[in-house]
Amino acid sequence: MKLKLASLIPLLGLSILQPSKAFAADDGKGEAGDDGKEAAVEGDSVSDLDLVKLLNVEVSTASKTSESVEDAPAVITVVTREDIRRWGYQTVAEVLSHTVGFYLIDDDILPNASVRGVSGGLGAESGGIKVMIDGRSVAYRSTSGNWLGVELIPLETVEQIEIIRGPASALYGADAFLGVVNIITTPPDAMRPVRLRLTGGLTETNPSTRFDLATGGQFGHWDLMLGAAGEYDDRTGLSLPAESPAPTLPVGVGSRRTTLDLKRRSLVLSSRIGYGGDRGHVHLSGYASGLTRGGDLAHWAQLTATEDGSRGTRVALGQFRLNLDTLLKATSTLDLALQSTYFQGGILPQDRVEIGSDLFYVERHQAYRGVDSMLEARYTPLSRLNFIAGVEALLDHETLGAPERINRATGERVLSGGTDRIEDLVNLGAYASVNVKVLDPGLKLTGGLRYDKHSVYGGQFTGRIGATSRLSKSVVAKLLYGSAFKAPSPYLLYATPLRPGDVVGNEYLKSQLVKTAEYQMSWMPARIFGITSGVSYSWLSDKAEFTPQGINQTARNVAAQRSFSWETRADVRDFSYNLYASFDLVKSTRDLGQEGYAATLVGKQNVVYPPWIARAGAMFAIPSVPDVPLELGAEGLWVGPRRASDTSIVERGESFELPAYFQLDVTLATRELYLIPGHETRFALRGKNLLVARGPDPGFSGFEYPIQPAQLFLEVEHVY
Amino acid sequence: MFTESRRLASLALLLGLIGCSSEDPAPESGGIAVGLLLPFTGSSSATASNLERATLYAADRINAGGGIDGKRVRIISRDTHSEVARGVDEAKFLRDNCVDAVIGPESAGIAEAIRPELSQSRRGCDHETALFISPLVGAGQEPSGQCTEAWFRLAPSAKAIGEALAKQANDHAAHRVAIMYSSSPYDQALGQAAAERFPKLASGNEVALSVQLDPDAQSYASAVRAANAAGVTNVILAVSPRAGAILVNEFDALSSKRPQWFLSPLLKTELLVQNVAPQALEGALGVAPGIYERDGGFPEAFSMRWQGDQPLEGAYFYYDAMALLAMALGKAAKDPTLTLDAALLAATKPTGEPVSWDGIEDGLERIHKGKQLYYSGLTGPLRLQACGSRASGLTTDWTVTQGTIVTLAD
Repeated sequence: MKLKLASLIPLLGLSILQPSKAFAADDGKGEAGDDGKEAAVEGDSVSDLDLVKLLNVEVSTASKTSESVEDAPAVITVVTREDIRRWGYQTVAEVLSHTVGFYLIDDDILPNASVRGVSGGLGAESGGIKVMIDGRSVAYRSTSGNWLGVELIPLETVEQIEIIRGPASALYGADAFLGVVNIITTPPDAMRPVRLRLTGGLTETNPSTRFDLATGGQFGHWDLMLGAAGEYDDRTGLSLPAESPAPTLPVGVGSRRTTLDLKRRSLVLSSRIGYGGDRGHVHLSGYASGLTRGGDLAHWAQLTATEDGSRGTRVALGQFRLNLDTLLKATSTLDLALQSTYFQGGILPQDRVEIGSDLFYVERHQAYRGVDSMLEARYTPLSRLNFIAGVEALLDHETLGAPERINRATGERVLSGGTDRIEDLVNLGAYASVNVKVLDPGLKLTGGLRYDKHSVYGGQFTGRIGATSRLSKSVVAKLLYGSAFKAPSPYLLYATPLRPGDVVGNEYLKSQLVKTAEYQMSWMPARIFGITSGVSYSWLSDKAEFTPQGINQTARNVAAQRSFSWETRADVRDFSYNLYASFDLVKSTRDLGQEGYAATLVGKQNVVYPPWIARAGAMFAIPSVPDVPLELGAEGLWVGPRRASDTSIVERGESFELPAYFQLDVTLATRELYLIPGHETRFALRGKNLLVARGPDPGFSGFEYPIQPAQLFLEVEHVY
Repeated sequence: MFTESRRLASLALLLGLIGCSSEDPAPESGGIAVGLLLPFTGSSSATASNLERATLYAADRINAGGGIDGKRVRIISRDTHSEVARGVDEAKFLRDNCVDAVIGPESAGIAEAIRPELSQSRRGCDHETALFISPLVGAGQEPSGQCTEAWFRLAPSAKAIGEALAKQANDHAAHRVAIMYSSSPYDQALGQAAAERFPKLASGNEVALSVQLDPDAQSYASAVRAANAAGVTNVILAVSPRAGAILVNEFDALSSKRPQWFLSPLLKTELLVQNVAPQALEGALGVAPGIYERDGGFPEAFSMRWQGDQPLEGAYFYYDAMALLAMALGKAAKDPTLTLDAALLAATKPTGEPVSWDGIEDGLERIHKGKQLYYSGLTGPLRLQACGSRASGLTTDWTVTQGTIVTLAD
């Protein structure tokens, strides 16, 4: 079964989100022209296909309208399925760490994505961005955190990942704050019976393995997709970085600084069944995900695990979602969409937290469930004009159980019990958006407004306005301005400290606000070369920072931040090679809004986020035997020196920087290998962080994080 | 195309310049420099920010009223890291930067170590030596009256508090107690005073266990096990809030019966209650210095200044230290014949009219005009001995009821 490009291109716009068809018809033609498309299809070569797709990538996240990436009113990066295969990305976190404008700190539990100089800090769990699958948030609601590892989604079900840098609350509401990551799954008629990727190898000296599977197809009006992915990885052996000024260590740890438990297990299952016809579609999808993490680098206390396994922090979380998506094509110009999600999640029974006590450990009890429903109308009176308007209602029922201390000797709960706290959080939102091509193809304008009203933190207006312009055949410019807000999570509102010094909730916490102006230009003078460069300036107000609350910390809206970024990326591609290079430059200052010793010591200079990051990748076909064509590639990530976090600076008593590091990944892979006629099999030998860089990356609890360890593994992928 | 590229570069440069335009302000200088030594990090770090806020608030009020003799007060905070060596280094830094006075540090142990540094003569500074006030340090033993230079300590003596705790335990029918205290000299002295006093209060009274605790430990399991082995269910505790929270939680985990706690003044904080298991401290008793102005608006004013944060017990003493220091500097400025030590003693001597905590701005103005005034503190009358220790003041009992600290009587 060959992938037909002619059908693929419009299908990219026909995601579950089912964007408006307004501009797809006349924008689908890129500079490659129809001849180019056909050539790629006939060749069925990954490289051929990829090259054409590069020139014709369609996105739907920027305006909920299918449009070319050049026309999309957002600063957007698209990572296609082919990119994921080529570079061997195994998680969305890995994708983001190689995406311009992002910087990831992996705390070995849930990585934290920072964007354009703005970092979320302790326990942020990438909550500054909105991660969605087919337009639906998949955040773990109690913390508003996003899971970016294997547990997020089987990557074999992914068609492309659309990554917006910049505010997008006007379309997506709360938490589309610093950016949006929308994962578009494979559309029904592009499904293959089997896509399977198996990985086995070593994480430094420990065994690791992963699997990633997608299956499905279209059967008349019906379609089905099933996906599953899982991992067992073990980063045990990483050391607590020597730069750590004040780790919290248990009594018996002595001089040991190596970890004994950084084992990682993740599992995700996804399914989708749909019925589609001329008048619309109905899709029902389910999603279950869980993870456990050995917590030797957890923020409560470090190196708590023992050799016999009787002690140690273990983080265990799970979540489940059930989505209903319906689309009714009411008239030739009006589509109506109804989407509803039931979500549920919480801390799993295996979870336990060590806080350094010899006598007891802590069990957390936290769960949530709720419904998020949206009704949307998409009106397209003219091919150059469309309107989108919708309402959204969200109910989140949070059960915030008091932590329980468990006697280590008896396994029984201690004398003092707590009471559960139950909170019902309600958010109502209404939004409207308009896209109009004033001059086709010279100028396209977009605007939008959204109002959200939350039962705890009140109302919030957000908006956006932008213009995209094809200045010439090869030059595209975008000028954008928008605002967004980050809602306080239930955790920050109601947290109960697990140990002295831990986070305590602040019920008066408000939303954080950001306004961003962006300008981007793209130049694509030839089909093999393109360069995009852009600048942005963000004003962040009511920024939540942890401030002292007696002997604990609580989040307060006291800070402000100004951040300027300059992002540039160049791509060179042809049938036998693929190269890219990118560079981020960030200048950011903060007003902590606090006084006294700590604020004076930390000052206004930004912390955590590196002032520059450089990335590059190259993949070449190399001379090889005809039956086994090979390609060799390398990808490098060079992270500039960055100031340690506020906490570490205060603990050390002086400002200090963590050194720059260079992370090198290398791949040797087969290319267009057909062991079964017509069905490609790909073998890849991959090495990640082969130079064994250790970082570290900044931590937020008196210690720093080692970067992910070196990995060497063999990967087998088969598409049937 | 090149034109377009140049436009892009120009715009980027322009925005870059905008982004690069803000710089950190130059450090403030001039005025009256007051060094503040607190444990912003380390084992005693829990309360430092709150105590700093009390000092800053006092300085704000003083500056809002025109400063001291027209000079603004400038607080220079430094971190002792809860360690003697670092405390000494920071004291040297303050001394060498010509601060007029040093407020702090948090413990008698560090204070004893830095005294020689602060008493060294300096050249090129307005004052030959810096005035030294320790708000939360009391005399470890009763003051002898013999000293070469004054060291002003605003907390009641450890002996007074230790004896009050022993009496409190005895009054509540405790006959066998464990005494647990940190290794700081003040807590040691407190523990020793309690241990000496308790057996004398009634026949049959016995100190079954006396344990010194490492303030940096993450667990006190051995102490808890020892107390359980000794069958003790009454515990007199003198440690930091952080250590107290860990210890209370571990008792809670290991003991079949919840102990009756008798807690030292530093543990009189909602923050301790907040960080232990619910009910773990229910019915706990404690002793604290009598604070006169608890209902006089200070908590509200403090909370308004610091976005809802509440003053800890120690914050009252730090506010008093700054206000008292301002009065002393005001008197010294008016009468150059007064040494700083003499001026401070004069500021506590009840001669003339009293100045309350919220009258400090006006009080300084009136001192400037030659009025005889003295400072009447938030923490009660500040009667200081010549060597700087505070004459024993009143103490109050307090308890924990339904998760809230309640003062029983002044």
